[in-house]
Amino acid sequence: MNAIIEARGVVKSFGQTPALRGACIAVGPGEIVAVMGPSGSGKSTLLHCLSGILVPDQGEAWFAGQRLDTLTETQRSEVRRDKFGFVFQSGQLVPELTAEENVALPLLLGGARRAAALAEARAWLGRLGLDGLGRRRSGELSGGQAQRVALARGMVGGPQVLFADEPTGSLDSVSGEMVMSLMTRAAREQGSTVILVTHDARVAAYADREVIVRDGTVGSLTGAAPSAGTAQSSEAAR
Amino acid sequence: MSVPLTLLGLLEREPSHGYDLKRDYDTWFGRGKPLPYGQVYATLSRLARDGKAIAGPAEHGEGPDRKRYAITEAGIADVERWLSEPAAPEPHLQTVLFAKVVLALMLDRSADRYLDAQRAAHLRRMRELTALKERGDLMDTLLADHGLYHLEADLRWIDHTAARLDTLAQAVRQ
Amino acid sequence: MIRLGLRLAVSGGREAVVRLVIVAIAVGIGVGLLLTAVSAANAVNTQNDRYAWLDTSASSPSQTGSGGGHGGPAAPLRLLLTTDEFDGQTIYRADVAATGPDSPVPPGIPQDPGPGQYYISPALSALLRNAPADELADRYPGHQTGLIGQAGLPSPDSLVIVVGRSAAQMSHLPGATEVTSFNTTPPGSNGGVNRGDGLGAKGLDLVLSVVALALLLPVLIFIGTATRLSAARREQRFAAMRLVGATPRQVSLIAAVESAVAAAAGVAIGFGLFFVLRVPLAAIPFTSQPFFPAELSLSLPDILAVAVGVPAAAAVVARLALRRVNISPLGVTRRVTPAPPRAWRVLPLLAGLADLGFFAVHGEPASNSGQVLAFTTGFALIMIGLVIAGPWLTMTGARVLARRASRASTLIAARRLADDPRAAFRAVSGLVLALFIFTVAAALIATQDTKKVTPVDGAAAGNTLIDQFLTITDGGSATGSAPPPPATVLTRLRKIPGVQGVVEFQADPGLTITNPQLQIQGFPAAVVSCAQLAGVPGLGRCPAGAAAAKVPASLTDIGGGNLAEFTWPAADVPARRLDSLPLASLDVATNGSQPAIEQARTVLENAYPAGTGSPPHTLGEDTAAANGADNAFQQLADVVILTSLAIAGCTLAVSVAGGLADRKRPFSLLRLTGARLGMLRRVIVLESAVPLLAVAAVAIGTGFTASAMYATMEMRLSLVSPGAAYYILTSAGIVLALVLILATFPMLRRITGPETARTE
Repeated sequence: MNAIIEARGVVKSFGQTPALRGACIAVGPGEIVAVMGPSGSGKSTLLHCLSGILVPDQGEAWFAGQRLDTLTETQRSEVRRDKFGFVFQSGQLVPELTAEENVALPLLLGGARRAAALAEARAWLGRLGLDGLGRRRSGELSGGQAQRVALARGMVGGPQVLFADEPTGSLDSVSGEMVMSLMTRAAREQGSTVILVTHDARVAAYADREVIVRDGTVGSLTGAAPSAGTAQSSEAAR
Repeated sequence: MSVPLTLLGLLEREPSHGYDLKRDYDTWFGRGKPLPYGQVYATLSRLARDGKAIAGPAEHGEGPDRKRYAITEAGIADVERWLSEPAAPEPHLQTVLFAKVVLALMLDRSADRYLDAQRAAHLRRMRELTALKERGDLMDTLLADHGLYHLEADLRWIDHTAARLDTLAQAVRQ
Repeated sequence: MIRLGLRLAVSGGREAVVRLVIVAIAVGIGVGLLLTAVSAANAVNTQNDRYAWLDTSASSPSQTGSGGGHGGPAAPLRLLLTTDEFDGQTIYRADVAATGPDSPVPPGIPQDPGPGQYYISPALSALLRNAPADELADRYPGHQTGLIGQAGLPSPDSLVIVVGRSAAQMSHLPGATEVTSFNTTPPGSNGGVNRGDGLGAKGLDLVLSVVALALLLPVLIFIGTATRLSAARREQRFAAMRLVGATPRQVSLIAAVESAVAAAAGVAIGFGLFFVLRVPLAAIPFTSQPFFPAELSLSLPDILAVAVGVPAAAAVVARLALRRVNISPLGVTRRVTPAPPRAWRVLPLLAGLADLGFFAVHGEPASNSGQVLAFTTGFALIMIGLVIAGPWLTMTGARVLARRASRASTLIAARRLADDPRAAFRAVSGLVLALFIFTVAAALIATQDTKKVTPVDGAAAGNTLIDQFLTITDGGSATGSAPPPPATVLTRLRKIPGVQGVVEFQADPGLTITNPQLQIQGFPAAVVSCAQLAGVPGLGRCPAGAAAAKVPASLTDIGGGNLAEFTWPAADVPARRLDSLPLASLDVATNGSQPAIEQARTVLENAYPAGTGSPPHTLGEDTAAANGADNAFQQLADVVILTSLAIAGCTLAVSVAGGLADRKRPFSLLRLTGARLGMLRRVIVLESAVPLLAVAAVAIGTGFTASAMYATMEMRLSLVSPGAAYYILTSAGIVLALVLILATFPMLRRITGPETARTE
């Protein structure tokens, strides 16, 4: 099956420090892939390049058969808004907005009417067990609740790809488990692809397969190429 | 803990007498429980019978026959296969993992690749357990969690060891 | 999108609301100042326009030609405009005689007064009532018919009188003209009216522009500082939105809306401030005369421009300021230490100093516009240069301090300063400019004071009332004279208590006098009888045995010197001829008391009606008039300086408060590891005080240097140290700034408590 999101030979440096040196990865639609590796290995940078947040110095980033890295800042922003969802470790919600406004944010930015966007947001909050918390500010929520709000925001637009970077990093084990369970279940229901950056094996265990980022390149543990698997083959393994 | 394969591995390093093999095994892998001589010689005989090792001419001296054993091609292949095949992920795997890593280092093989393969196997097992948690009942969940935590501990050890392979290699070669 | 922006602007929690309020206040102050300056300019122009009718003459452009024009009155008005003086104040006098029912009427009165009537301004009316008749009222024939309305008065305090005459009387007044209408706008330059105690119209416009600019810069810095409050948190919020897919333009729009909201609130505050301050402002005599409060007005274009322009400008500035965040949705998670300021930053400052220095050494450019260009470039470069060079100076000073630091607190403070010198300098940048402006103004004014006009020295000469009939033309020749005074006038003059003597200067055409001390050569001379001169010792001596002496024909047009010391050269004029010569001037020596001067003036004016020569005045009043312009400057400078210092103080206060929030986490962590509160306090003091003092020293030093160069170049004087008031105010200002910094200490203990160091 064709990859829905791909990196080909991505090189990215920050000042003198090279973070990625020719990273290649291909993820098929509906796959849940864990990107693992020691800290500082460039996992987050790979995620940023794949999602259009950063533009690689060399190499290509592809999404749905189109080059992502050659788009303008505005175009990449629109792709992020309409096609991607993000769940980061912390600091991603807008503190001045309520939970439901935060969740509705991608829709509002895309020009949706306020009432419709909020209704959709509330539906998602309900799906994730956050009924009645919509009017609270993010500062008034617990860590687990805030991450679920972030997850709702990530899923509200029906994204094709959900990018998660250490989504349970600041959470205790029970909250983390809940968030991962909800995330994978929601992604499978929607058919979203998930790219999950984590150093935690128990979090990576929620994925269909894993790749390792070492010294700026991507490899797999078994020495096979980190190319697209399929959702079906992962299911069959169970 | 597979004694035959361990002895075979030691044998690959250099041909040895049974006495020397036992001494080495006790040093590296015995952990306070020395291997009985009988077991050593019985294992060596069996290995020779199976064609994994070959016994040299008997040398006279004190005690039982001091035969010198050497490893065969088949034996080397067995050791190779054993080393590169990950063990079935289960708790209390430390002794096997440890042995494999040390031997790999002694034999100058790529311990990295071995550790990676083991990691992959562990992760696969963890995925299975996680899927079980998602659809199982409470008892299943508790058991799966138990397994998951132990597997995670193994992975931590693997990561830690991998980070120290160079130091370990030096220590082993003395 | 806009709704989202509004929502974010007002619902951000306490921190955001505080920021909004402070920005609004800052903008409000700026808008208030701007409106004040604009309305003052309007008022000045209106006031000038109302002086216009006092400048009307036959050659005014408003006059219609004979038989021409649409609707011009057929009967002209006979008009004589003069100025008079009483107790140091100017009285504007118009003698009018209507030739027909359609004659033009001066503004502010219903009809031309007839003979024996006069219209008078309210202020002059009050003066007439309170002063003795023989000092003032006797100058005006007739009785009061009514008051002059606002249309005819430049200022509420103006002293104006319109005296009615018959046509016959007017024909006896030399200098009377016929006009068919009154000026409504001032003629080109300063016109013929002696407004010696104020600033000309063009001059004041220029001064107001400079003042507005000098105040605007500290206000802009204040607004910038207020806008930077909570910068990190706002950046984080925008980064979160960018992550979710907001385009750079959407984020700019939202930020612009926030800024526009704050600015709009600020505009409202500014207008409120202006309307509240309008009445007290009008009473301040910028042009040496107060304004009518209603004149401090704003035209509709003015209001619209400010009400729409300021929020628009705020929105634009917000867009520009956000360009950094628009680049990265990762926002504060990837913050690198900003690059240190480079050494090139000192260049503008050095360039400005070099500019002034060059001209100080080589002399100023020849043309007026060249001069203006040289100064403004120099000073502007220096002021901008101070602001640009500030961070580099702070960093260099901090590095030197760090190298020589022996205590932990000094080291920490120095390193923090060297790491982010821009933030440290921003807090005190307003003060830098204020101090520089203050220093320059104080030094230059003090230097200018040494150049005060003293045309003629000696108390006696200063108290001599001179009725001058002869005028010196620009070509240096003398014209005009008057008949000799009747004996009754002389008797009356001598009878005034306080009058010491009367001297007649008689005109003898062709006579000249040269006196190097008085800087005159070939100056037209008058003849004076030595007998009379002996009775008035303050005006010089005759040579022994002479009957008549030569004196300068006009005492007001000569240079300085103590007249009492002079021995005038003898004049070879026989006594008989002397008596027949016409009068060049009639001089009355007084003891300087006001009743004596005013009574003598009244007698002289009634003896020699208005129009014959210039109005009687003392040499002391001449000096005061010449120096009047400087006083007005000084007042204005005081206002500017105090205001800019106050604004700079507000900037510092806001910076310190904001800095406190930034310090929360690192300092609480330091405390947890064992640093004592006292050490942290020392760090704060060093971090704030070092840039403050260092930069203040540079500002003051630069101010004195620039002033010295300007003084050498333009004023041809060496710089004089300003008075004690300057040093006191400067020290007080710096001490106040330090106190502000120290005022944060009580809060420090609470803010850096252990709960702040929690990993949130």
